[in-house]
Amino acid sequence: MGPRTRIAAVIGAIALAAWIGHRSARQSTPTAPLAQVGAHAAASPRASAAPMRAPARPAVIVHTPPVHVAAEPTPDEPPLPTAEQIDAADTARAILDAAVARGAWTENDWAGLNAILGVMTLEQRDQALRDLSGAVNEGRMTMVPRAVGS
Amino acid sequence: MKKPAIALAAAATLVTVGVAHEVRAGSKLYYGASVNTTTRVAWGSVGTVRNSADTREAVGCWVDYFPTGPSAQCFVTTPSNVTGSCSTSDPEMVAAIAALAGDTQFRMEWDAWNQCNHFVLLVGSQVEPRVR
Repeated sequence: MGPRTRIAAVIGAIALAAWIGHRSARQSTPTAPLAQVGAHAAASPRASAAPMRAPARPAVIVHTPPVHVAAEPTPDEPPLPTAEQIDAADTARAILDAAVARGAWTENDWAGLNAILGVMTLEQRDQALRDLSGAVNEGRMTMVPRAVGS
Repeated sequence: MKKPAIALAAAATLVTVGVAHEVRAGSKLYYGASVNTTTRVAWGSVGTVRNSADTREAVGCWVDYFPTGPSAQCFVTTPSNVTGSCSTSDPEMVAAIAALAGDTQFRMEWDAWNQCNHFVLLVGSQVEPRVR
């Protein structure tokens, strides 16, 4: 190998190293997500030739639980029962306990319950009726059909 | 030969009446009150139970409407005095229960908390009407 040939080989090696270095530098450049690349390419015919720029990094949003500052119920929450409603629920419980003790739910029990059903909250009424059904289903008492005339 | 002829005529009359009745008959269902508190299901036809000679057998529902919301309770009592009962405050189920009419068969199921969780209303020509 003559001196000229050696010089040509060295120049070739340098050129090859420079080309490889440039290529790897381009590949390590951050690119946009595929969808954005596609959209960008479709929007601009020059996009494929232009270098792709990384999109602005979105701001990080931190969700923190809301601080509960008010003790008042929200519109979705049922209001707390009043003293009258608490009394009505207690009365319903007492009527049921007495009926279970005697083994029969009578027309008088219906009359007592009829008088306070409208006072109770929906949740209290639901609970009272389910307790009544439960006592009957478990065979703890018999029940006459409800009469609404009294 | 006179007696056999009379018997034959009587038989023919009975057959004729029977056929005529059969032609007029449609599908009929007779569902008395039935309760299974283990599987939590009960059913009965209002007309059949009403027409029953048994004085304890009964089926029915009641619906309460208050400003706080509606609620309903149903029950089925068998001739052996076993009662199944459930209640609900679900507005849609209450509306279905409120549609319970005289000539209706219904079936109800309930959960461990005695809350109705399935209610079936059957209204049709096969359901026995109340007669008295």
